[in-house]
Amino acid sequence: MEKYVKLPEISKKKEKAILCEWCATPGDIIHSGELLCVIEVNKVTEEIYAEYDMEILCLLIEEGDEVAFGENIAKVRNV
Amino acid sequence: MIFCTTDFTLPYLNFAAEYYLATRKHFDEDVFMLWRNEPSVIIGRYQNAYEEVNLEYIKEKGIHLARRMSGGGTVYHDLGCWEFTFITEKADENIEFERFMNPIAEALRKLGLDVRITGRNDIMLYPDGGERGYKISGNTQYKKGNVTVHHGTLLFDTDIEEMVKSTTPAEYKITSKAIKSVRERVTNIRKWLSNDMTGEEFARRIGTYMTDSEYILNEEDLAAIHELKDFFESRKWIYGETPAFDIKKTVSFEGGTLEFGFTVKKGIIVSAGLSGDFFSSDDPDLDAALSGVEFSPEEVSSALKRNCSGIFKFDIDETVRKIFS
Repeated sequence: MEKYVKLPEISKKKEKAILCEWCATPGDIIHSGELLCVIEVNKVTEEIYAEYDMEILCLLIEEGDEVAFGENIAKVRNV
Repeated sequence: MIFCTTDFTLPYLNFAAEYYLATRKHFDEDVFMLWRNEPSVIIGRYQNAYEEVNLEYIKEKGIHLARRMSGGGTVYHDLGCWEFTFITEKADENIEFERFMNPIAEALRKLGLDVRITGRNDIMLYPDGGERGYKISGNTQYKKGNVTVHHGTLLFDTDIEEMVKSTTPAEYKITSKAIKSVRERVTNIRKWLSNDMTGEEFARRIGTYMTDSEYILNEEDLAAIHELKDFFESRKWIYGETPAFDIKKTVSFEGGTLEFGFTVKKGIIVSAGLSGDFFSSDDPDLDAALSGVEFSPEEVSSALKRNCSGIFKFDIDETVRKIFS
């Protein structure tokens, strides 16, 4: 089943993050707990991990672009 | 809180020590570190040294270049600047700065300083209680799993002129999505103390205020830290982790001008172009000559000599020196 991965809300302030680095590419299988991407928000770099096993179908945000908390960042399929 | 000090003054060793304590040791309490570096420019995790640093100047002066794990902008360290680190396994899931900055601000107030924490997570000093504030501390964090590493600077008696010269980059035209520094007015804490003290005394007072026990690095710790140092010192980390960028540089000679353009990803040239008064015989295929080559003066010079010798009417070493200055 296809679904979307959203950027988790890790800041209580109304601020956007930068998606700095993708650690997966379309076609990759990422297991729960593995690193998906790294973001930077207000001078903090934070690693975002997969919450379940997934196949990456499409990355929706380019490296270096702003992204809001709760925004879709990748289209994936459960595996 | 546990106090852990090191005698290291190389940024690669200090970052290795932080990373080691955060990821390979477990403590029941938070850890606090105070450390200093020899003259060094430190770029943020997702920054581009070519956009932030005068690379030719720091090379001439023997100033180190390092990339840290945390975000934010470029800073200058020297032995007049103290860095502090908090390492905790008990941080909130949400980003929090006040928990770490409040005790630092309080320790500074105990020295008679009027300091305030800003919305950008800096600590500003207001001399004479005035409205004009000066930055004395920048703060930033990185997280690895459930561990938060919060670190910041304390400008105690830093060479500010050297700071400005080191962090004024050469004139490139760069297009990139790398994180950009935000420059602020700065001052040194020592200038505003009513009772003068050395940097060592300053650090002793901050450390004593913050902590109640000490951890001394053992032989095993030191060996592991020295091993990790190689990673932080590597070109792969410092330059290879630069976000992708396009860079143009116009180079002038007595006989004409050359404009070089490069697209660089992970520190490697993926495409290159050239226009200008370069002809001596054939057109140089810069893309073929430089694609796959590391974007550094040494590698670019070697590749041009291998592939384009006799084509440029200008000296290759001089040309490359001008590209990277």
